[in-house]
Amino acid sequence: MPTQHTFAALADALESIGTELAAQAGSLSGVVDPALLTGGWVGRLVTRTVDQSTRDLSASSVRIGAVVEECRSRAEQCRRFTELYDGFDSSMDSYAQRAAELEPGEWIGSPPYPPRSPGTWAERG
Amino acid sequence: MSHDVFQINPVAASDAAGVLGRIVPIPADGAERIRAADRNGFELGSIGQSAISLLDEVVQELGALQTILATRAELARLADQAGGMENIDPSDLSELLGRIDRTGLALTGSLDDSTGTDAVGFAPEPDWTPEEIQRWWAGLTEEEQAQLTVTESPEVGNLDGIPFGDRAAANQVTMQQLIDDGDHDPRLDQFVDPDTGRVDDDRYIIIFDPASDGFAAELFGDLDTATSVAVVVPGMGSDLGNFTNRVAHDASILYDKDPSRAVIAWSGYDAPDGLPALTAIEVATEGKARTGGEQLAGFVAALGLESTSRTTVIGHSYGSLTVGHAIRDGMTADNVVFIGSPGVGVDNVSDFPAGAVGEYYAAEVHGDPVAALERFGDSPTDPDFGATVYDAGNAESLSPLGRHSEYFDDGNAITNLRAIVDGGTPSDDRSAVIDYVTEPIEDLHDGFNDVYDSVDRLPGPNPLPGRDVGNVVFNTGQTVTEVVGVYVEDGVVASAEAAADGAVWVGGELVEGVERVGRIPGEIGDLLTPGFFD
Repeated sequence: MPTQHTFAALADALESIGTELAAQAGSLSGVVDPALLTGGWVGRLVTRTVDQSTRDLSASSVRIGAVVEECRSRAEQCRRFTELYDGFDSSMDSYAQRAAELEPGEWIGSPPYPPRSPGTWAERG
Repeated sequence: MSHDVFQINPVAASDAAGVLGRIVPIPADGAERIRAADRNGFELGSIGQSAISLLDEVVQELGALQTILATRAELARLADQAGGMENIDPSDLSELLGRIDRTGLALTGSLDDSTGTDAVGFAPEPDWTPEEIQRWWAGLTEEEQAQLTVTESPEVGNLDGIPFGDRAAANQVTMQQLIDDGDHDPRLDQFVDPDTGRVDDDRYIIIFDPASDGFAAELFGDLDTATSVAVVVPGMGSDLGNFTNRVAHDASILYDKDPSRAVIAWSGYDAPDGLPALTAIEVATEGKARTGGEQLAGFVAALGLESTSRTTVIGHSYGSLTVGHAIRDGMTADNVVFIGSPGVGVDNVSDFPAGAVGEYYAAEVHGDPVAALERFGDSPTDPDFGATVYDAGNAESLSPLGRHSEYFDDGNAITNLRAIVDGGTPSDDRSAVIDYVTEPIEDLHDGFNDVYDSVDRLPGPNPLPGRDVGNVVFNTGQTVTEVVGVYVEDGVVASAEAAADGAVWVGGELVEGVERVGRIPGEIGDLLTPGFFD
């Protein structure tokens, strides 16, 4: 089960990759200098592919950025849920402690409700 | 314009391939991390899949680039080691070139799918002029042009208005694909480099269509440096199967590797079938020349978009009739040359559109029977026709139809033809000087030596009617004893007649009142070497 930390770790890793992809997009045409190829359908295909790959590298960086953003969002959601759960856990501890100290006939009310299960990520849209 | 359609700096290519090898793992790592996350319940859904899809495509594109560059660099390295591309082990060369082609073609398909854009349509309208096609092509992006060069190679390779360099590249793709498909078409063998087993990329094929009898055109020379350009239009019997050995051979001789000259062998129309050749000319109609003329006019217009150099269009045999129709269909040229012509469809140059052609030239090898036919109008060598008649030399061949094919042989004919193409002045036709070509008859047969000492080919009009295709004069010493008309059936000498009723040529003079003196037995067919009357 992914956690705040695993989402954050994936976001960090992908963010680094996305940054690198964006950098390569900027330098690819310099790496494959059109001057090293002239003429012929293969030569033209290479030139065309360099252009296409440059665009695709940039687009990949953007799409990875979207994944990074999603992972960070989920990490934050995980953090909040963990915080809620920790609060519930703490309340339960308190509740259990008070319950252990109850005198006969004494009423301390209902135990704390646990936070609602967040469901799957897909369910959360 | 270079004949090498794929040049490369091997060091830079190798370096680039190395850098690409370091880049490729980055998107691959990104895709794998997202896949692994999904396997571990991260449920990244469509956002993750979208990223994976594009990252995979980038990996494929960059990987293909890396393969192409590394392979081409390897080819260059092997060529350097071996002392030239032609010295590379054929199996290595074939494997490496095949790898490039396969990778490139796969990449083309990948790019079509990956970009999310529609494949480029092949949009030119059938009635577009070469100028309109040129504008349409120029309006495409380089990506689109490269895509069409591969995916629509048969169309791109033959469309007047598309630059010759792109056409040659497209035709190379077409031919290689036909070879790779495995259905062996022997007509393709002439375009294959025997050292590599692949299409010879040193040849600049600017028309290639294997349909029916097939069509082809080849450029010799460099249009960028040439100050004069010639287009050679062949006649009957020309087709894809004999393209290299006939019109391309003639064009290469005319070119003579002179950098100031470029020559195009143009077999871009459906010429009449050629066997038996003379019969074909006799029975041929103008239909194929009319259609071919339209095609030639379009091609020469396309040539005008590529080169502003002096242009000479040369029509040989039935091809001269095709050139004649092209002029009437709007073709323009600095010079037009009719050689070995059975007529060009008009009786005088004034019947052609005014100003279409700067100068008309005509020539016939003495004794060329086709040129004497005047099947399609007055001979362009006729003084009344209005063309400048130049010297095409004496007949060298014993065969009448061999004489019809001497216009590109060494001698006055080719020297004068080059002079015309180059803007010079050809030498005048020799007036009525009749020379004989004599060969010892011993070379032709055994058995008649004791009677006949030599055989002479007589030039001039054929004095014999019907299917006679030539005259053989048998001499005994210096004395002409008999004149023989040779009869040919289905391309084989069937019999011959000594002398003939009426007039015959003897000693360069027309002799009237000769009586038929008898028939030489059919064994005459055995006396003449094979191909004598081809």
